[in-house]
Amino acid sequence: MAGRLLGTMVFSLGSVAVSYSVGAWLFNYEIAVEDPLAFAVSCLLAFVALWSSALAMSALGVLSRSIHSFLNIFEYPVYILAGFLVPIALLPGWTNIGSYLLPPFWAALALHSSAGGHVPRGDLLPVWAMLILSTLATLLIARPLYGLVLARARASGTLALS
Amino acid sequence: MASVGLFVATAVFSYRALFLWLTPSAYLFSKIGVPLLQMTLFSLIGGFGGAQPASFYVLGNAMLAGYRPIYPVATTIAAEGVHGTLPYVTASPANRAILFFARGAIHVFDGLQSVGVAFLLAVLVFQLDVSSANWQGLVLAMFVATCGAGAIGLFLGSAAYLVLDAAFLANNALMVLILLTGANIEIAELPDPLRAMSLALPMTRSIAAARSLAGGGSLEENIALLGADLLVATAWAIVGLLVVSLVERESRRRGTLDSV
Repeated sequence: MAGRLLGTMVFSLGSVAVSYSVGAWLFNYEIAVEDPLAFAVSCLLAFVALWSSALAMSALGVLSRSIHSFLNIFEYPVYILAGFLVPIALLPGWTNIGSYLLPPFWAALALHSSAGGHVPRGDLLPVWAMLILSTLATLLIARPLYGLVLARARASGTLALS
Repeated sequence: MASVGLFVATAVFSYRALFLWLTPSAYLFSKIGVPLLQMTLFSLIGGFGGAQPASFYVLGNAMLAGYRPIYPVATTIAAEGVHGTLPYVTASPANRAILFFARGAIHVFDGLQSVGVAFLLAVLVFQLDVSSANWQGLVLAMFVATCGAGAIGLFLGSAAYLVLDAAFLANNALMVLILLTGANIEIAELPDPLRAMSLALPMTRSIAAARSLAGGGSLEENIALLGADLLVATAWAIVGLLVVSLVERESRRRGTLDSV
């Protein structure tokens, strides 16, 4: 599963490139990366963070037959809490805990900060550290979920995993 | 009478088929959680970067909750091919138009419920002011919007016989509705080609009418908008029926009965 997700994510990098290019062309927006090295590190860590999130979500998708129908809707709370589209400062304070627990929040912060170049590399280190920690935590959550998937498949004697 | 019976039976079975892939808990989440999340996201985006007051986005997205029929209607029609029931439909002497339109009948009322729930959440959670609303007209606007969504579902389910698959088409249709129906961006602010697309979509005029009616506008002022939206929706559904007829004719000609 991890390999399949990795393959899917590599494939979808093309979509990211196309989306940025079309967006920049359509809205006459200049894409500028002020600190390319820091941005490359942020991209790599963000990629792994999103992969770990997808791993946890896909286990839930196998455990519930209808969850896949709502995966596109589950993107909404992630967009809201991760600060991809609006700053989390606009949200009620109690929701910030949810943001801090999500790897995509730290990924968005690292990407925004390194692309904007307004944050010195030294100040990016704690963000990267939190990104790595939240990624590891998500992987630790995904592991027992996959254990549950396998246990259920063994109990029901099916290879369909659902 | 037999036609009415066929319509009702098809409508009921098409609605029950929804629960083949949707559990009751997920259904409830789709009724309450989805409109709430959608209104929250777009109200925040609108509040952060948009030029309209928050109520503009809240009301627009409450109306957009009427998109719900798109998914089950499109999936039900396209699934005939996947589940192997299409040959029975093709071989059946039943009236095609009745079979086709009945697929969306109950889903339209289900979608109307969703818009109702979305408005309730809009008032309770987002303090949408509907104190001067013309409720008779507003409910009519909600109904026309969900009819439009059902019509898109009928069209996409038919199109899925020819290109891609129903879920992929429905996901893209939802994005188009979010962007182009005036729920989140003023139609006047869209570039000309996108404005033309917006006018060709169902729901565009019912959302505009709902804005007026929620502010106390009269039904007489908005009836033309609602009538036009219903006409556009009917056109989409008829194109869907024509696509199904084409698929059926081709599958008969090729002797496959379930594919082109």
